[in-house]
Amino acid sequence: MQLERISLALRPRHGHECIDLAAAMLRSWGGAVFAAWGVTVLPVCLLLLFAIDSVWMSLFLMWLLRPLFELVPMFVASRATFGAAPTLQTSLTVLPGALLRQLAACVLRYRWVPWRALVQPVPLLEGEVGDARRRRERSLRVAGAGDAVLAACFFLALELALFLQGLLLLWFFTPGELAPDLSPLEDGDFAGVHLGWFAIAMKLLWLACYSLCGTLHSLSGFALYLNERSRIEGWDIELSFRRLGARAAKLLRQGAATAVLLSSLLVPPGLAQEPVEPSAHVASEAAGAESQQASAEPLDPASVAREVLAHEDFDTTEARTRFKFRWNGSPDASGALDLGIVAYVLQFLGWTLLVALIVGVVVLILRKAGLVEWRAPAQPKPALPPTHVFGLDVRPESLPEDIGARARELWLSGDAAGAMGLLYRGALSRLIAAGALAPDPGDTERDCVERVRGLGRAELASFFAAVTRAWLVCAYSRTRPDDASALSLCDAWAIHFERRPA
Amino acid sequence: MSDVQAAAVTDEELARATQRVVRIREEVSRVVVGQSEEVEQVLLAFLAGGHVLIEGVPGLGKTLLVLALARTFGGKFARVQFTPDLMPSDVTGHVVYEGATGTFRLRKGPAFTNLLLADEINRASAKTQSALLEVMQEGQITIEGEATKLAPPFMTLATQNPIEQEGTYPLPEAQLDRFLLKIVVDYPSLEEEARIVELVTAGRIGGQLEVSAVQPVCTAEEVLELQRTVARLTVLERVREYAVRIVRETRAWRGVALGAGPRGGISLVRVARAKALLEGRGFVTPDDIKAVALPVLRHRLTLAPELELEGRTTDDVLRSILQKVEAPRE
Repeated sequence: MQLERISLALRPRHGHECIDLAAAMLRSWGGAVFAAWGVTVLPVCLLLLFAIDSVWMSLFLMWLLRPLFELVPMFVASRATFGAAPTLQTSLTVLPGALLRQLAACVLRYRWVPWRALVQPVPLLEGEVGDARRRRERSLRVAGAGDAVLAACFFLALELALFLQGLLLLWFFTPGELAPDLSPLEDGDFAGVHLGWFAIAMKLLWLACYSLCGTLHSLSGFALYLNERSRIEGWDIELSFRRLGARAAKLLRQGAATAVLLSSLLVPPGLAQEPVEPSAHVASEAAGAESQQASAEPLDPASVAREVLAHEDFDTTEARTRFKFRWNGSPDASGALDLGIVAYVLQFLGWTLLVALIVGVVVLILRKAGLVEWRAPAQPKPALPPTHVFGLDVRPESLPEDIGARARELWLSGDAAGAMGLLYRGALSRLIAAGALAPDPGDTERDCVERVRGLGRAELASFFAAVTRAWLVCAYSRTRPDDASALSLCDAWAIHFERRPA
Repeated sequence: MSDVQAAAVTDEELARATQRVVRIREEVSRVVVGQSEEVEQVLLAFLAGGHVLIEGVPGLGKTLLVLALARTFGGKFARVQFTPDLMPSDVTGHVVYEGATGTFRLRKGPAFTNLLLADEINRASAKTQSALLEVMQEGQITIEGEATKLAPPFMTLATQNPIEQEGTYPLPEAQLDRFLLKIVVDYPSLEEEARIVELVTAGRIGGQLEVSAVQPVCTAEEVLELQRTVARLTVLERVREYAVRIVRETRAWRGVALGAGPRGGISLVRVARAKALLEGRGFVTPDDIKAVALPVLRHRLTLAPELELEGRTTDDVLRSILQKVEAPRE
């Protein structure tokens, strides 16, 4: 670790200051960060958003891969922190491999961890694996997890707010003739809404919001990571000592040179060969040299440690209070929660999800390619035909077996309305029972005629129109059709409709 | 309540009236290309003795339609271009003093006619609009305290342009309610437009409207007889109830700030009768009510702002209402 090359001011920071630091990082290295983002993350996002038909699937995949995408700004910032911001070529060369190596960990582990931005640098930047990684992550999250979760919530809220505001702005400034028709929503018909160009604009808008907020979230996580390491390992103190040491060495060199010059000028030549009392600086240098000589001699480390620990600074006690989850089952001796089983369960769930996802994507591709036939969806049970339509009893059993003959009888007995009503009711009943007609409550007689006409059976449509016309005359005019046409309708009944089904 | 208000129309009367209406329609169709729905709606209002408000961009043959209709019964036609400085007396007429005879003489305005085309009615001031609407309602004109009955049939066809709103005086709801129908005239189809261009440019100088092809097929008195026949067509109680239920539903419908008043139901039945006659029937069915509901009710509804912001129109709302209200059955 070449701390002297670090380009940030290291000091203990609060959580919100780390978000400030992330914003400062983006201002300083925005070009490099967004260039790397543009060549790695953006193409994948565009592919997911526009190449997958199902919006939900593409949104799910985007959500799943977010931890992976957010490694990109972290990578760039880590290099830039030590004065070597990667070029576009470097990003293109290094990042794909690094991201692929982290894919499984991001999907299976970090996706489910709300403080992931804090601990993701551990495997990416330190290359730690296994127990070493776990120990490092645990030590980082002791004090930094809360701030990392808050930062995640903050940037998620910011992303949502930006997206919604942008969406509203877009909606309000869209000319009426270009705006998508949302009227099907009023009837609960979500599938009937075709957003067209607006859907593309929405996706692009969301991508822009995510590019900004995701990048800031990642950088804030990196800033928290730096803060925690600085706190744990005393980076800032080490740096201060190094700078102090460098300044002291410079002063010593200047002091020694001055002393030599003065002595050569002021001391008489005769005394030049006599031993000279060293000046204070020289004396201290000499003392330093002696001490170096002395340190070269073997020392007992244990005694040195005891000597250091005996100092009063190491005999202090500090009480700190923090919230901690209480595990009633089996707390370990120190009272800390052992998340081993939970972690394994989460890991198992993650692997199951990944396998299911891969299988799903493969099946989807095979289906698109026509290699796999999609299983036909289960046919819904046929709905029972209605028993009453428009207040008319259309149950087959409520009608005589031979409707035409019965209508003829009624007509000849002088009940014109009964005869024509029976023919009309019978026609409706047969058409509904055959599934050829499903009238709406607001349908009038003409609407029913139009629906029957839409069946493409010209003779049936013509007969039904004639029956309707005759029935309308009886029902609304208080007159009756002429005998010939009415009786011909009765006789023609059997030609167009079967007898009552058994 | 009885189902029939007046003596039923006899078969002979019905046949004669139907034949007359068919001939009027044929004559109008000689010069008006396409727009069969709009022509039918104007005829419906004419037969029902009402007035129509026509909304459409300029140049869609509104004047031609009125000219042709006036010619079918040899009626008089007048046109008034409404402007902000138009005075009520410019429409109704006024009394002038004649120095030679030392008497006052009534100078009749364009409203003394059979068919009056009030072009761009929303450009005139509220005062002038009111004067015209009073004429429409009363069928008479009062000048200097003397009321003069207009010679029937009298029908006003008012137009307004839907795209220009600046410098206009929109008609208030109460006055809109006096129009029997609001007809929305849309652009003709490609074939119809090509035919119009061919007809209008063949051997003619300028843009004169040519209605000489229209032959008178009846007299003004026969038109009145037609209107009387329409008023006597059979409407059963359940059909009237259907019309009333539709109108009442407009008041309860979510998103409608102001529904249609009782005049909406009256107009529905009047126009449905005319519709039945156009189809050669002596009785009204629920189909007739449903078929005329849009032009009869569309100007009597005021949508709530949120529905307007969503881009919904009164026609959309009315279609939903018609779908919901159950048609009467035997």
